Amino acid sequence: MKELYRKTFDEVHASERLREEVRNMKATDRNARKFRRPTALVAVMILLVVLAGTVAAVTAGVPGSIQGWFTREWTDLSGEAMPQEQMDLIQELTQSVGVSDTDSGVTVTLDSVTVGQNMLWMLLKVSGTYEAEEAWLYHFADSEIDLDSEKASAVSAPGIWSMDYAYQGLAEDGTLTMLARFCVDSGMGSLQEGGRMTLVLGDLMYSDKVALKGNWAISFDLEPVEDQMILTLEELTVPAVDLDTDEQGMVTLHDVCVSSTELQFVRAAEDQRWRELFPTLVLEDGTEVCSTSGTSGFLDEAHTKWGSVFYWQLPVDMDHVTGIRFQDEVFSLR
Amino acid sequence: MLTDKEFHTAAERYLDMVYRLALNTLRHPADAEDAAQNVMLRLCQSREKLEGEDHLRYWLVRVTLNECKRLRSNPWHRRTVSLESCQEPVFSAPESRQLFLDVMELPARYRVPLYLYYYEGYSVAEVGKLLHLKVSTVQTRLARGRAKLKASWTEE
Repeated sequence: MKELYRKTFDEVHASERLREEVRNMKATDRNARKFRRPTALVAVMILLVVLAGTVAAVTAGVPGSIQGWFTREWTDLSGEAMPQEQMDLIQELTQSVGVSDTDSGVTVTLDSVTVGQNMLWMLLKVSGTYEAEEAWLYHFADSEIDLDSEKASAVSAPGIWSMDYAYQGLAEDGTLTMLARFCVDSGMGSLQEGGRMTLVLGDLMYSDKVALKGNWAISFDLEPVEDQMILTLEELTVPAVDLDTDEQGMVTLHDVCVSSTELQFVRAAEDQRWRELFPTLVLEDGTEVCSTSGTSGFLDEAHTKWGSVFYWQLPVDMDHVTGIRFQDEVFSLR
Repeated sequence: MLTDKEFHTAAERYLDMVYRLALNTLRHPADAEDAAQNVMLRLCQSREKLEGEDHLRYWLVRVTLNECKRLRSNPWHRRTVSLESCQEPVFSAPESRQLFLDVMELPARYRVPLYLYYYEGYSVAEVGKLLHLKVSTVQTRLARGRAKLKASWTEE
């Protein structure tokens, strides 16, 4: 058995695409915070979004502004128009960028960004003519973000991050529009401190095929954002599921921080196997705002603290938040 | 910190190991490629002083296991992928293909110790240290994994 096992796995190799990616990695610019999304993940994420049926619903006339997207999200989840305080908060966190780059005759513009502590929504517009019906299949094959490290917290381990799309589609004026979401782990310092960022996008894809070969680099200044209200809890024991056995149990989260854009917490390394269940913000009028996605990683070189960031569907005015729910259990934040 | 040359030498030597371990942990080739790429990026950017091959290999195994946990706990990866949807490797012999499928059908708690023990040649104690498991737990998992593989083999 052992010999056959070894012979079998001798024939399992990383793909040529991955080898090429690794060959192109360079240990230069190590002080910059660089975030790169593997190509394969894009396809997986798109498939999941399709399965979830969330994108198809917004393909016809997607919002042409970040504020428009959040307004639509708010109406969908609360059934009512967005209150003024909520609009003001989103306005406060949103910055106009308007920086473009052109390659292969196509111009990609970073229209605007909404900045959380560890979370960035980026509205991208792509020139050209595209079919509305299947516009949600467009995405960029590769993406990289460099962030000026001067203001970054001193973390020698490379950062953990994630990037996905909230939507892709044609705006009412026919522009191919994508809302990308970028999230870094809580050990990387707050994006709200600002800094010089460069977003590099490679090859416009249609589903899993290259629609247009190109490389677009967009550099812009992320302006500092005024300090936002953060509710903190030293410790919170919440329902969770064991990733190894799928059994339900409880896990204790430490240094829990709830802000208008995300939830952050730390767990002991030995509690990594527990996945906390569906963190959701509860507002005083009963509206619930779910966490959408996030990222996790070690916060120290000794690998003892496992930090996680989950971001909300949209920024939420913390004055109206009453609690946080994990599965069926609601914890008061008042 | 590794030089570019040291990194590329290490990557050439260990990329397959990292990928195989990630595949044993995550089961899906696309996820395993994502994990392996992230691990190599971490190696490329790591400031950790890696003294000798054993330390480098140990570091890569630990970072790969953690990266796989991170991917599994990411909401985007909360799914079960059917084996049919995986693009499986090409094998030169039918029995190798069958063994691979049987291994991939095992729960992860058996697959990973088996891989570290059978393929990477770590001792039971070392597997325990890498996986933060007691020696007796590793022994139990190896025994159950082997038994399940033998049972599948006999059925076929």
